Amino acid sequence: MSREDGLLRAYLDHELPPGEHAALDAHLATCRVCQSRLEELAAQATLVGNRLAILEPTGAEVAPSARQAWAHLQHRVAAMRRAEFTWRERLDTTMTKLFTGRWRPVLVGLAALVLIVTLFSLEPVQVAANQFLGVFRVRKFAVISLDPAQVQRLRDLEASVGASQGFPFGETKTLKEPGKPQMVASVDEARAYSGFPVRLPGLLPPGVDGPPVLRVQDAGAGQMTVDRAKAQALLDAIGRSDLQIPAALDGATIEFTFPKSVIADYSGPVGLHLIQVPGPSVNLPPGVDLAQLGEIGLQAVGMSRDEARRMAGAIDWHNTLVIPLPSDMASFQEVSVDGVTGILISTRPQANRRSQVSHSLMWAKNGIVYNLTGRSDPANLLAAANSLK
Amino acid sequence: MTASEALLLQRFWQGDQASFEALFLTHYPRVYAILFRLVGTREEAEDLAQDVFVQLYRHPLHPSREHNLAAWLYRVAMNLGYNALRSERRLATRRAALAGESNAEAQPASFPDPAAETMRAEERAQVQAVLSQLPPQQAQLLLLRQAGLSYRELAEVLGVAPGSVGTLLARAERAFAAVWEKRSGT
Repeated sequence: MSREDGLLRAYLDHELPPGEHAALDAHLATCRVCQSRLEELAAQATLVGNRLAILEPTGAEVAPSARQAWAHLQHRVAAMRRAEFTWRERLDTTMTKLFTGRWRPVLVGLAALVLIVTLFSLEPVQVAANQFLGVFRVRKFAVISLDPAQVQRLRDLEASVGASQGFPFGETKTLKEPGKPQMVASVDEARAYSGFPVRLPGLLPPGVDGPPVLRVQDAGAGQMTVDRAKAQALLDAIGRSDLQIPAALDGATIEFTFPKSVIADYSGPVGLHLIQVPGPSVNLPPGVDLAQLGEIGLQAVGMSRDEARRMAGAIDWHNTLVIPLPSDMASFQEVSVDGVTGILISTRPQANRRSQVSHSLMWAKNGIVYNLTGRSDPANLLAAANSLK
Repeated sequence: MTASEALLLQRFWQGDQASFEALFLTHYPRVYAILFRLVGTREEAEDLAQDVFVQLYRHPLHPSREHNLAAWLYRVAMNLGYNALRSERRLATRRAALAGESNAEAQPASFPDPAAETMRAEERAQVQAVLSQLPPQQAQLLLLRQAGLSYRELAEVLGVAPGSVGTLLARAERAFAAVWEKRSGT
């Protein structure tokens, strides 16, 4: 169809700028070909318009009053707020869950990780420079603050897809089911079973009683094949319909492995929970540009384009586990721990909440990722972390 | 977007619920009307229109950037509407609802004649079937234009250049007419 058809069509709708409209008027007065074409387009527009008019709401189908609809929306918003409070109560266990020895949280944790790091983009221009299998292995951490509204949306999304359905943006296959954690009697047994040097704190914070209950969680592995339509639906669902998933990503397969992990649970009034695991890894298909994926992922979790670009440029995506943290529920800071730089995450005290403030340390050393969580104050938690042996 | 709307968006960003209410009352009727054309039942169009504003509530548009709120709302409405249509479950519900409404139990005052209403339901189903055979962008363009959006708004919602709307519209209308003719002829 020629561009002239477009001009004539816009002319019919009085959508041309005044100058162009007048010029076309003058042209039509003398050009029979264009006149005839205009008539054809007008007839076609009328025919289609008449057919489509049947879709208009009439009678009882006409919108309820906006006031009524507003009242309904207020109910929904109030329910959302209540659900958000419930979720805040659950936050205390969120950090623990990230590395806990159950498959579902592993899946959710990795879903968050993959969502942020690898999901949304394959930039064709980058392919030439990246014709190798990218391997992502956790060695460092970065925390990003999440807009609470976005957290709610992600939470809803998690609820709507359910754990059994796995990733909401593609088909998943469990390559290796990790099974239930096995209790072991000693550090030596944990070491023998897990295959890596297991460490425990030599110094326990006040209010924490030893010895710990030790469990070893077997390794797990899975694979996800990206379904572009589902991923786009996910973006729509979290309110980022403006982000587009490139067609090239459709069908891409991402493999992830979660090695054997060791969990140590201490009792006592403030409790202590230590998880150690060799860095989980994610194998990416050829040509994936992690920084660009990260940039889109960061936008998906609520950052502006500029913020996402700045942040994505500053992160070493091949080695960094990005932890999304709701800004109103927890704070974080970099700390020196166990001789390396780690992250201390602290839940914010919530008004009228029964839950107490808890702190969680995350760091990686010699290829092992550690997560130590408890209700001790940060200084005592750090002292325990620094006493690992 | 008007200056006052920009101000409302800014206030809403800062947490002012009254501004959100004002934005809702302004835009809800058209969002609903667009969704009704797409999904064909009042109940589902109401639900989806609510979802659109829930998205806005949870994800306020940042005031430092220039936004066309109407275009944003219509785009989200289209996405949600198409997602709903794609869902088998919703589709089944929709068919059942359409069948139910065609039994004239819902709106006796407007459609006292059951035969006329049945015919209307059939016509609607036919138009929707034709739209479903068009590429999504063409179907959306036709629906949104029919709902009264300007070329500028259409360009924003669909992410195309304003100068190309006439061409795209003419093309979509031709495609619609061709599919219609083909269906009628068979």
